[in-house]
Amino acid sequence: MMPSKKLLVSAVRKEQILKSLAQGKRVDNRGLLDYRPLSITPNVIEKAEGSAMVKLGDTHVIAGVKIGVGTPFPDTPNEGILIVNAEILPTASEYQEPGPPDEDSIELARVVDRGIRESKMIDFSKLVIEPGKHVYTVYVDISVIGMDGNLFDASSYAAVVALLTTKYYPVVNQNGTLVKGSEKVLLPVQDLGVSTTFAKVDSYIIVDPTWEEESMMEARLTIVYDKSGNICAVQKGGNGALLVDDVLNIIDLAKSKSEEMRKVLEGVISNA
Amino acid sequence: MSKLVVPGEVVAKGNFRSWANVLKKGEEYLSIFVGRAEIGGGRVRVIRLSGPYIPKVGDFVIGVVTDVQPLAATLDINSYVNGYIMANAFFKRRIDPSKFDLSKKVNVGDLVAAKVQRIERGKDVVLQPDQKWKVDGDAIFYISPAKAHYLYTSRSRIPSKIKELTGAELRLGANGIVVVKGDLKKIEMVKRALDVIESKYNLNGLYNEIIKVLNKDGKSADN
Amino acid sequence: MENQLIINGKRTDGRGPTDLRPLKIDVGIIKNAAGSSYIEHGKNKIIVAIYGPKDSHRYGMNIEKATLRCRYHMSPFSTEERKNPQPSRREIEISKVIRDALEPSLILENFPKTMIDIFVEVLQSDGGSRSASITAASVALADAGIPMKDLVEAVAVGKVNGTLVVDLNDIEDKEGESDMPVAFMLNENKITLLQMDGKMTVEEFKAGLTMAMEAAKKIKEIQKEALAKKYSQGENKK
Repeated sequence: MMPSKKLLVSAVRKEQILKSLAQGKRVDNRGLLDYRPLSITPNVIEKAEGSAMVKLGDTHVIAGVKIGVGTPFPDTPNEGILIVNAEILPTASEYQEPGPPDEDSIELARVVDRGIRESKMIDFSKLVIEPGKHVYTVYVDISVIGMDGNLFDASSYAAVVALLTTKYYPVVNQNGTLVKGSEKVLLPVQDLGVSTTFAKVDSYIIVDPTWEEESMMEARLTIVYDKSGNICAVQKGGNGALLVDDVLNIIDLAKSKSEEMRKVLEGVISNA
Repeated sequence: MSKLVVPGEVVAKGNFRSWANVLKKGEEYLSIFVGRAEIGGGRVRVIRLSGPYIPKVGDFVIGVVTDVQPLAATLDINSYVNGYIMANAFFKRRIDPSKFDLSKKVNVGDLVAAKVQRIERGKDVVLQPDQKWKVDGDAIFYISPAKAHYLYTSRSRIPSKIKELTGAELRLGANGIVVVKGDLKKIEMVKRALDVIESKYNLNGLYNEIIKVLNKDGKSADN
Repeated sequence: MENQLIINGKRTDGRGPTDLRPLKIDVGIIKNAAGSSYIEHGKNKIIVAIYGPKDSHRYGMNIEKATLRCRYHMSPFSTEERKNPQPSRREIEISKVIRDALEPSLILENFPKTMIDIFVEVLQSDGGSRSASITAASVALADAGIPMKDLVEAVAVGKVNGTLVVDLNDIEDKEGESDMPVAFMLNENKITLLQMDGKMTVEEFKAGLTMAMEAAKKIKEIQKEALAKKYSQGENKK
């Protein structure tokens, strides 16, 4: 497959971005370790069991959760199923062609999936209707509507807020037939994985890169921390490399940054 | 004040000598754009407020070099068509491509100032590089091509006023690319002025609005 | 027994036969796009982005005018039961009829050998999603500065419990006797989309068309207001 689409950043613009970084500022006026304005709106799609709209600067993502009933995988008969799917819609940028998910969409889905799965955010052992026969399938579908960099964090925040605000009708087995319950319940949530993404542009480490910054970065690093401060998912992106010291530095920066973002996410969820 | 119109809206009725960006249907003139209607002097026209840069011969534009071949450079001119500059035009004489290397003159990512010389087959925009064709600056901004073209063709006082009030050097392409030279503070002021152009659609009021915003800037900087 | 969908002249959502559902349009919501819009019509929530005109070296480009391309797509979470993200035959047909409904309004001769993309994403679907898509896409095309003769607006009429009603909601669409989406270019008295399923008498068909046209006039006012809201920024309010 072809490598992902990059913007052509003009020489003057590159200089402008680098000069600004040298003075400790981004071209949009934030600091090197500041996120863009973030807005998260849960329950935007009434027909979905859970949903959230995220705007991170001009990056615009919506995630929806649907709960279905399915057959468990043979190797995990006592666990519900998680399916995460993402599509960078052609609405997002002029470089995005309509068609089946490309490698960027698939990488995005898999990284979000890892953050949810490995943080043990949801107790899948509680999503069993009848062991070996019927379990809940949790579909998380992510649509990237508008794109201006850092799709990973925006998509992850949309997905976790959608999951943590999901309400669905439980299903019970009554004499061999599955019957819908009468009262909606929440998913069995036990943790919250928080994603933060850093990029190295020239010699500078920055958080929450824009598309322009991603187009001129060496590489990018996404880290997911769980509630207890364990690292539970990592993804290096971009066709350049990071120094070992950069990685160690980012791991520490990500820890404090993820605590800050955790408060934001928890605030949104408790007000939903 | 000129009136805001939308596509299909009747801009004027009667008989006019000339018209632009409207469809004539009997006595009625209907807008084909979201724009500002201007009626007077036997003339009816709509100044469009959005849409791509539509190249016109004689326009001064700024482009970003996207490809360099032995005989020509291709430029992104912020439009639905590419701009081309022939190698001859850079060297100001006929050249032997086996002996000259255009990539020694321009590189991908460079900004080039040029005039639209001709448009071939309705599509290929051939550019003539400006005397000072190499554009170096400290910042680049994009504004709506429709508004940039309006400022350019109406010989608006806005660009020179921005220069005067910010102290920055400024080159505005009719295609919406603006290149600024100056320190970070000056660039920040220019950005605020351009934000006014981007977010406001009352073309007649832009000039005063910009003066207001920049004077506020000046004062807060003194404090 | 057939479901009672109209009781004492009121429909399931309390409307009379000629009332529209709540309809709201926002213009210019996607930064990267040349033009964009968001429509809420009933429970429909739809985003439209326009890209182009853009240079295209694709085989088959029209040398006389721009080529229009349209994709209508439903997000997997947009329906009661999760929808497979792959485009269905229904979505492919709707993409085509939306394109055919909009093309007559556009002046594409200004942009030969280029392509204009209309991307429609249904975030939540309700009855009449194709009509809402057309209404929103026409506004997005105007926002993109694509020259056009007129805005296009679309709405469905149908027969429910023997009564003609406009702007069918989900249940009326599914359980009613017929459903007929229509798109108009009102200035020229033209129809650019016309589909029907179910049964109607010739008289009902004719009366339905008039009802749809009246409803389209109301929708046109909402389209105009939506564009004016964005493009009047900076005017001195009196």
